[in-house]
Amino acid sequence: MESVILLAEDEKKLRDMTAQHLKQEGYKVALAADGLEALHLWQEIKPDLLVLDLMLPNLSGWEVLKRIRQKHDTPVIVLTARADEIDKLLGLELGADDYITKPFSTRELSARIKAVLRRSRPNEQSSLISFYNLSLDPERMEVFIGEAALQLTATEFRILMLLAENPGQVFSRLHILERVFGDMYEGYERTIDTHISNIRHKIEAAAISQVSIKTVYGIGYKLTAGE
Amino acid sequence: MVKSELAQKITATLILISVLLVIVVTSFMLLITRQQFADYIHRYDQAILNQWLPIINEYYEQNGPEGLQEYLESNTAGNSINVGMGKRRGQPALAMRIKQVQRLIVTDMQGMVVADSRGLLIGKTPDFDLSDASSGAILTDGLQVGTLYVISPLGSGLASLENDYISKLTASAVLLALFAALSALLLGLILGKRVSAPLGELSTAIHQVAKGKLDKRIDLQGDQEFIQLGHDFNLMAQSLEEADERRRRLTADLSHELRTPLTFLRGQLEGMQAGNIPADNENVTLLLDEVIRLTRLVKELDNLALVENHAVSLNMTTFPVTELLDRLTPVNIAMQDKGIEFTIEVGNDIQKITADLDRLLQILLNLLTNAMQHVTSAGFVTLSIQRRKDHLQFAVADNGSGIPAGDLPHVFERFYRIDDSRSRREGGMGLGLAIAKGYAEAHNGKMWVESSVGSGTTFYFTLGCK
Repeated sequence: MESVILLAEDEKKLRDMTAQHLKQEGYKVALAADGLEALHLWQEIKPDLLVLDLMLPNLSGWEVLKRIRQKHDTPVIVLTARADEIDKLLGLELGADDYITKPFSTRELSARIKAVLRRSRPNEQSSLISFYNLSLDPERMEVFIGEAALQLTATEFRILMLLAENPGQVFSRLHILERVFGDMYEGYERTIDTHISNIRHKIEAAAISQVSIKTVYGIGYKLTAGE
Repeated sequence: MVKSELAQKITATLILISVLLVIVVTSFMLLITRQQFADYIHRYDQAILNQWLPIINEYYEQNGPEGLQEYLESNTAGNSINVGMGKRRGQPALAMRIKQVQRLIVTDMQGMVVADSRGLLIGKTPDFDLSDASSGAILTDGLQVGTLYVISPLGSGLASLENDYISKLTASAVLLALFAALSALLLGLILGKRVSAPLGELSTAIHQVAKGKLDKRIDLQGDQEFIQLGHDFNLMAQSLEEADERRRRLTADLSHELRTPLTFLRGQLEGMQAGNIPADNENVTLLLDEVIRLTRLVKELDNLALVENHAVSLNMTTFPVTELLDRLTPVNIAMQDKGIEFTIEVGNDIQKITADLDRLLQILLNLLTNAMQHVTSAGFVTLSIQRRKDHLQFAVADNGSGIPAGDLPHVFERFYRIDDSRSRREGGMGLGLAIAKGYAEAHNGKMWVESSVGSGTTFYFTLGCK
């Protein structure tokens, strides 16, 4: 069953781009340009998840979130523009399931959506990520090459998952750093090399692997099939 | 206008006070004068009473009230006819006589007048109040049989003297009040000018600053308070000027920070559009990196704004020290990579820390990154966490090149770089220390730096214990 996502964002450019991206990810997307519309649509279609900008005209995202929370625990991912909004969000504990700050990466947004949806449906079979004979279970933080389990640290797991979710895609060290550690570690790009090298060793030691992490010279890393 | 109003108020107050003072002093003097006069009369009367009381007493003892009237009249000066009468009755003439101005009245126990040296009230009760007059009891065998009153001869005479005195006093008081008011007016004008002149100057200067003339400085003359006020104003103007200068620099720095990545992005994108640069995965990744850096800059500016507006709200949690150290793993790896000896010393008595973990981590990362950039390979960086009396003290020490004394006061300023030629990529954006300091302060802490050129730098910060 494909999930329905309600996207409430007043900037048309951002709304269309994000919607386009989410559709390609396989979601059904409903769009709202202001708070009132978001609230009406939410009542009408009961989406599986709401992506909610806090700065909405007519009815603020804060208000929308509050009113929805009075009735239902629909998962909500909040889009914020300012650091003080995050503080406020954490302080008020309004019940947002996650938040992402602008400017944001649509790819990261869909990763967050996936994670929140997974959490909100605990009964469903957790969606394994697999590429050739590599498979990752995000719920249990387990990695298998074929039948052999890999013992990865949390950081290594997150790096491998990022690569495995987007096989063939080149990730720069900075990009990996941002996604895995958060944005505060700029300047530590080289530490990614150490983690990648550890992952490679563990993959090699585990079993015959059909996948490998390739170094793209001067740029970064990608996950590819074959040696 | 403020200027004249203040001077007017001071003058008016001075006049009011001086006139009031004259009135109070004069009233007091009048009161004293009256009392003194009354007292004098009373004492005079008492003396006369003391003279006559034994004589009357003696007469009473021998004769009772009978013939007392004649006796008194006969002894009044100028009543020569009656002298004989007294003698006839066998009473001795007195050595002294009742002066004409004096009046003696004797009453019995019922208040009936039995004798009056003026002979007016015999057999009557007095038609005026005798209670103010000096009086003495007439005793026979120890029992009071009557009362002797002496009516003051001074009463009328002195009363006019007193009135005269009082009117003179009042007249001079009015004169004095006028003089005092005039002096107060003069003094008030002088004092008012002394106060309003510097205030006027200050007001003008404030208006100039408000209009943006931030380099305005003043030199107030006069009393110590005004000189101090002038200094304070200058201090304020200076800090405004500096803030304005920082704001200008921020804008300039910011546009500089944006220019380079934007130029790069534009160049790359135009190249791809023209087909000179292949729009492949690798090249797009480079563009993406630039966007990530711009994003990071925006977030840093956001954090800086929070810090500068003192609007950082903390998400306080209590966590084991090990959790904090775990998250420093990337630093550990980077230090190893660079051949820097990185040690962490944590006091034995510290197991848990209460703080905003993400922000504490950001402080440490900023300080450690800064240290890492300033030591050469084979150098060392030490992080130590110690418990002090009521707070935790963190120290990040390195043995790098050190910071010149002239730069020390500025290291926490945004976009401040000691070595301007240092590449911006390597040196960061120059926001890290400003943000770190702000985060420490949000934790009720402080941040400071000690450094000497050639031997290294130590950054300290504290976290208030909640």
